[in-house]
Amino acid sequence: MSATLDTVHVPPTASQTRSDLWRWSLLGGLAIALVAAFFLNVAFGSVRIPLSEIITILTGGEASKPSWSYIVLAFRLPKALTAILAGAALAVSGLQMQTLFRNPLADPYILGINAGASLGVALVVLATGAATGFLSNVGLLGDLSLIASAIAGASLVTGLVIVAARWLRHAMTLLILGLMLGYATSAIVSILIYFSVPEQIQAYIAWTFGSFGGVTWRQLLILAPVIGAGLLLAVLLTKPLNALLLGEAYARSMGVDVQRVRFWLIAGTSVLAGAVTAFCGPIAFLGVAIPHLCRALLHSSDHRLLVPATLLMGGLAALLADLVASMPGSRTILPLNAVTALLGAPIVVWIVLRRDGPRSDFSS
Amino acid sequence: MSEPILQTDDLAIGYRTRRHAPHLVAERLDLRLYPGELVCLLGPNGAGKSTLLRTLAGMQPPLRGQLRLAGTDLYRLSPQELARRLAVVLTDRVEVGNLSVRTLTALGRYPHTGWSGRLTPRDEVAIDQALMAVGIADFAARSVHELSDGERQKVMIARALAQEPQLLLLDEPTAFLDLPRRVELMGLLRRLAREGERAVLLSTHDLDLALRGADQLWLLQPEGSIQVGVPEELVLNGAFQHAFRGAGVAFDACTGAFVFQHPPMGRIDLVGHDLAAVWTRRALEREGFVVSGHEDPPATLRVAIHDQEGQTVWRLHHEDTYQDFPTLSQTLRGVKTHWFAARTEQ
Amino acid sequence: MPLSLPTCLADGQLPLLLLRQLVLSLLCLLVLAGDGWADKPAAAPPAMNLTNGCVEHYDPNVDYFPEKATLAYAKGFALQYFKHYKVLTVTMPWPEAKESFRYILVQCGTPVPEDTGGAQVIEIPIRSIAILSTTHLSHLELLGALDRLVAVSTYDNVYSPAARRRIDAGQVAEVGRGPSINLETLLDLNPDLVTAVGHDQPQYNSHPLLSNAGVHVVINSEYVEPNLLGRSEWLKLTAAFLNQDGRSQHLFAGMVQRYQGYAAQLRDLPTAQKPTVLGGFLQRDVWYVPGGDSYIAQLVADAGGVYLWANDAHRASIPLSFEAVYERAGDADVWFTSNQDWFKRADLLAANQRYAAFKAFRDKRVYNNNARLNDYQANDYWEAGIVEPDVQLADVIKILHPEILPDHTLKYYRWLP
Repeated sequence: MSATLDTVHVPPTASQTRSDLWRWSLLGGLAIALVAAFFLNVAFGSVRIPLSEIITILTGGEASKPSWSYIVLAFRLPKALTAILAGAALAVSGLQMQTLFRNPLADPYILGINAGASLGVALVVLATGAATGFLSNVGLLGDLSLIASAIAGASLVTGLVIVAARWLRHAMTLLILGLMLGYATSAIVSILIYFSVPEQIQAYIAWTFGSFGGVTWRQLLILAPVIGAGLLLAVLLTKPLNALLLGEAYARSMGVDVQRVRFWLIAGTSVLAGAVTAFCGPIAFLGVAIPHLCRALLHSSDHRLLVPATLLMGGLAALLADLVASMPGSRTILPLNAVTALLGAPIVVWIVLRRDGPRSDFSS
Repeated sequence: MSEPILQTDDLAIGYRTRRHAPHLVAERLDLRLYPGELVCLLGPNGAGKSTLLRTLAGMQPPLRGQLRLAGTDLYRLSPQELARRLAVVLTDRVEVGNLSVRTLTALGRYPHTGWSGRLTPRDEVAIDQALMAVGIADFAARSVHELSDGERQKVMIARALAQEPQLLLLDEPTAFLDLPRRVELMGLLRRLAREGERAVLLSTHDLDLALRGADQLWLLQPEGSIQVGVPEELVLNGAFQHAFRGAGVAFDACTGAFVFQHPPMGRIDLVGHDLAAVWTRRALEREGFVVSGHEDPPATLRVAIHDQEGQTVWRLHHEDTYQDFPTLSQTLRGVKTHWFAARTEQ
Repeated sequence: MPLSLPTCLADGQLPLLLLRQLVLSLLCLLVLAGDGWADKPAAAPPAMNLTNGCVEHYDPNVDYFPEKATLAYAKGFALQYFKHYKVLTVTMPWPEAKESFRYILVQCGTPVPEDTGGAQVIEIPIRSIAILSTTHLSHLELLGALDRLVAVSTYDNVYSPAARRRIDAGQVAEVGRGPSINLETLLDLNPDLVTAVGHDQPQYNSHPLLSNAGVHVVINSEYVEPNLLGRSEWLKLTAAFLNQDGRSQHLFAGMVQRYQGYAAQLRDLPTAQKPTVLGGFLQRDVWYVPGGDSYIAQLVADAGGVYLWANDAHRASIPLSFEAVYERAGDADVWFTSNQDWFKRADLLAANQRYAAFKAFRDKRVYNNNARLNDYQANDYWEAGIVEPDVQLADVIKILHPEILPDHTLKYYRWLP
């Protein structure tokens, strides 16, 4: 019975390699779609600019109207890049949270990051002085103060959660803690809103709509490396994420330092989601919907495929949402969050209905 | 006998609570696990099987005592080092979503691969061997959620094997399986222990299979002590009966099975020696009769089994008459009729 | 004079008796009539509306409102005068309103007309008033009725020094507005009238709550008018409650004269000499640009400028994307913004770097309407500015064509350095 098993090597079956190949080519397709969407996003916007002009501008030439040049280079280009970064960041961190908490409805804001950032912004916008409002502090830092306050708020909540993560044994407890922190900060924001004048409320609500268009090249210089670092961390955490698919008990038995991995996952998510929220406002649905979409598309829960897939698909979805929100051809724009919700909600519903069937694409 | 893979000295297991004194589950445990052995951990509910397994698996530190894995203090090992020597299989069915059998098995290589998880040819070989050893190489490409519970547990075992452990711990791996699958799994585990030169420890409620399949039994008594030995020894010295005594249930050393205990209704004589006789005896005992052979004084009812032209016939002797029955069911009904008739007469 | 009839009459003296009775009765009648005449001299119609006090003896034939106001520019309300009451109809309580509000202002001391048609009946002249919007404050000040002010919405919104003195002296209460208005304090003060602004979003309106509580509230929404003169004319609405119709008529006439005087200087200016104008500012992704039918557009036109969205039909602000605004107004000559917190161009840059791409920004021709702020960040643009449309026009003319009004210094607009 015991043949020398060392020499027997069963090659992966032909069907297996074929299906693997299929998956990787799908990833390639996603990458191409992402690039295409990028160009679409730059080419179409509120103002109609002929395609030839776009190409001229992008290749360094002079446009017929200088305002077009400005619009494409200083407005649309950074907006598109921001969309890719933000979409990738949210989708990947959503994937991380869904795997860590083994919860298909988890999103990057599940630990109250969003609520903390909102609280920071609300304190600046709603609570500074009686007759002020808008985007500046008394010290007049303007846009940067908004970003800073969002980061401060997000960090506060994240800090609390991370400290708790070291002490708590079960992921579920952490999840509930995060949820409750979220509710608490939302309550405080509600109180602030209640005592504010309409102009301040309008300014705050404008922030909650989310936007990629507010990020200038200079801000991108900060945002891009931060998100890059978060995404790199996510790639490095691919291996333990796969182990976590079996649950924390099995993961421990395979040598995963669950406490440490949990810490890094939470830290990574905080950085990714916190940065996006700080620079772009809270953006809903991408974090929840994209991982499911990728799982369904690739028929796999393997994070070696899912992490790059959510990265690409997240950027793609964000570009498309931004395109729809800018309502090409009309002079107005839709709030970004409304568009992501309109696109994302049906996807989540579809996913949930599919799960209802005999085939399951995700662990519960 | 080689060195033990796992060794405990004066181990005390339990768990610490925040406010009260630590809760002791079992103590003075001196256990040894040798390569090539299949050991079953048995005990009534609440005796502490799970606690012991968790402690041995490195998930729950002991209250005191020594615990060594291949000579090193188990709790001093890093998670990765531990994982290279020890693998577990748990009871619960794990929903992993959409992974192929091979991918899931490959997860077992976790402690052996680098930060990226990339599989070297050596890793692939280990995976192949694990799949083959468990006998599921044929559906390596299939998705895990397509499999039945039994096949799924095999995949989890394959995954554990892929870790190339010296010690395999299983926590009630057969709990959700039907009998044929349970038998198959026990056989598999025996083979893995023997042929792989590894120690396999599993906790189970399946006493029958444990008695038949294990090389050693660790019997956890309700009061927190443990008895170690060859299964048959533990039956003969009464340890089994002691561990599993309960209301109305007793372990019958003769049959090696549990029987319901109730005050017997009466005595019936049984004549016959073949297979039919064995099962007739069981039926009568289940009905509550004590079955005897030729004894003095003879019982009021006697069942004699004989062959009549190739057919088995049961003859029920009652006082001076007899009645023939072609099937066991009818025989039993006849017995009961006569028995209760006799009772009411009295 | 006591009336007495001879009680004892002999029989047979009837005819003489009757004659005596007749004469006596006639005498008594004459005395009675004379009695009445003596106590009630002939009622002379008042020369002016009664700004204080009530009518002592009501005469239905008297016209108690010899001074009447007529409306020339304001379209949002109408005033009708009857002998002893006025009917005020606010036809535009908010933009595109489907309902109007009727008020019957009854001269104190005269009876309430029978058929009120469900309108609110308010006795005038009012002796105490609560103001929920500081745009109405200047009406009081101009009409010399500041001493009748008993409550404002928010202290911090009050600019007027005179009003602030009254606040500091504890003579004015703070009651908030909208759904969170302090009804108890207001009821305790029991003002004769509360003025509120109407909103098309019902949740911002104060008047339903107040009406339900039995408080007299009038909707005073000058902002619905598409031009400054129309807005200023709502002074006459407040004046109607104070019986100062004549005075408000006179004051407003002065405003019109001065305003038209300024505008006349720009009327024949060729288009080539008119600078292009941009308004509003970016809020997140949306730039609210004043509509083509708004008072800002009208003001710019009157001041000899070209408002870049003059062709738009909206009266309210239009939400536009940055791209759309930049494409049309990236080269605008002058930019009028309205962000209260901006005092210099660096503030704009801090809020959004992209403002630097606008020519008006680079040419340092950005103006803000926060020139007059007090320590509490209250903006006089919304107080005194409401009753000085001519000064506002002068400001804008000074900004667009400085050579036309060399002696004028900017009052409500601030240049952002």
